[in-house]
Amino acid sequence: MSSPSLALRRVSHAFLGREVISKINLEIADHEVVALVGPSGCGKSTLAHIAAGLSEPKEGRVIRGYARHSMVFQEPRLMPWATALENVAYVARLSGLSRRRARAAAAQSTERVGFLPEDLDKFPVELSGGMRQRIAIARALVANPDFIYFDEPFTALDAALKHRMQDIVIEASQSGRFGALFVTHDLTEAARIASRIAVMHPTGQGIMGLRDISGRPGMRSERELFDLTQHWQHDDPLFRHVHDVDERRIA
Amino acid sequence: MTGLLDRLGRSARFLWGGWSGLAALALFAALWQAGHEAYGDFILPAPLATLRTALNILGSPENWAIFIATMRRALIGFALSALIGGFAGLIAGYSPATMRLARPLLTVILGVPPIAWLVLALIWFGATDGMVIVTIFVGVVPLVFAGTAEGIATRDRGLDAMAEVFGATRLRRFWSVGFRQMLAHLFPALLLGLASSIKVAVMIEVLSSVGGIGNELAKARQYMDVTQALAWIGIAVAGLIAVEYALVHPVRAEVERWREAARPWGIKR
Ligand SMILES: Nc1ncnc2c1ncn2[C@@H]1O[C@H](COP(=O)(O)OP(=O)(O)OP(=O)(O)O)[C@@H](O)[C@H]1O
Ligand SMILES: [Mg+2]
Repeated sequence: MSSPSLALRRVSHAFLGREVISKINLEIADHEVVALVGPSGCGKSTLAHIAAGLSEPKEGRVIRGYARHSMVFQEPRLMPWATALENVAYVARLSGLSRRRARAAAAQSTERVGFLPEDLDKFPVELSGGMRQRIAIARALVANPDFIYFDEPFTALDAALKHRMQDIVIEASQSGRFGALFVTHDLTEAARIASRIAVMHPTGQGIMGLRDISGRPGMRSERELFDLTQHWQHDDPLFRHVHDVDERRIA
Repeated sequence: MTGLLDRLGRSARFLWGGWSGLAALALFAALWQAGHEAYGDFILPAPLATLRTALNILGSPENWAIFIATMRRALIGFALSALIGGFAGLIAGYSPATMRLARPLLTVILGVPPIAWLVLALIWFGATDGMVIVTIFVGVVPLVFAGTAEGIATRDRGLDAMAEVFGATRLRRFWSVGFRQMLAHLFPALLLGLASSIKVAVMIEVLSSVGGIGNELAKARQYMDVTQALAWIGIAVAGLIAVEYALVHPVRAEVERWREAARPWGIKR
């Protein structure tokens, strides 16, 4: 196997002396999509930020084998003073494109996520939550990264759009364009797009376990996905706490 | 082309906004007139009479020189404060330690009344332009400093992280994200600073003999000429409004276009 595109070795982190994640080990192969699940507050976002280099781990090492990464944050994080198009073009500019080419790339990228051209000149305040999230996704795709951190990226989208966005991730990772760490609460989503699923300890003390998902992402039938998630939730002890959270959410 | 049209549209909206300003002025003039009719010419001359005097004053080039002398001092003092206060504010905003050091200092400087600074500056510099400028500077610098520092310190760090993850350098992050957020706090501070500069300039001129609008006010006081005094006050205010609308507002409208979109009436497309 080629060298991993991302490797976390005994990574720990603390906020103001309170340890939130500790001794995390995780390895993601070249162009592999790994889903990361775990109850709310267990430290998934913290882990993604450390892996992306936004904060230094208190202990442990992060080894990045990819060339260029990007991120879809849990919140859209758009610049309020820039239009939808400018927000995406900003990142294209950062990757070294000229002003005109950046705008062209941005227009193309927003089209890919189903954003209507007539809304491109609107400011984020004028967009709906789902539209903002799509701009954030377009922004992460625009510079052709070979690794993407997704932090619950599709939660603000309706079922049809969600499906479409998942297909983009599946298609791009299958054709070898990028690998990803994909944080999600949705087990069906994880089962659809990932080749492996990692379950985080409820209080961040390591990755409790990993499961390989049989078959290629995108090739699994709805029936298989349903059976798999049912199996995880009812028979697999690894998923007990993830399941707890879902019940708490409904209550 | 559409950019130009957009800009024209914005100017038109801006002018349209002028009507409400005019209405407010008319209301003010009506109250003034009522006061005049109640108290008589000696206490409060009629607004129209004051306006006529002001126009008379502006008819002579010597008086323009007086007006310009005051505005020049105020603007130099303001520009220095904006530059130095803005720069220091940037540093303090990015460095919490500097901020902690600067806060008590700021309180002390703001606590000393401008009059006290005037006395000191008079002793140090004598009755010169430099004295006026220093006094303005001391009064206005804390305002700009606080506005800038606050703007940087309360920036949305999430946007910083966003720019960082996409590979923006520190400098790039500052220009594209930090600076833009600072502007929202900076503009109100600049407007306040500009008004203070002109006020302090006039005040100093009244109290020391360095010419300018304040000197004319002092003369008017000697002769008990209320009309003359009011006319000069009106000229000073007009100067402030001219600078505000010629300099600060156009820049602000351009930079804060998105805020317009956030207003309830929004941008019609
Ligand atoms: N900047 C911060 N300062 C202090 N504590 C923080 C900070 N960010 C996160 N935490 C704490 O770290 C823990 C993990 O937070 P994190 O955002 O990583 O959780 P998460 O797994 O992403 O949750 P969710 O699924 O709800 O997004 C939480 O207990 C949170 O209170
Ligand atoms: Mg999170």
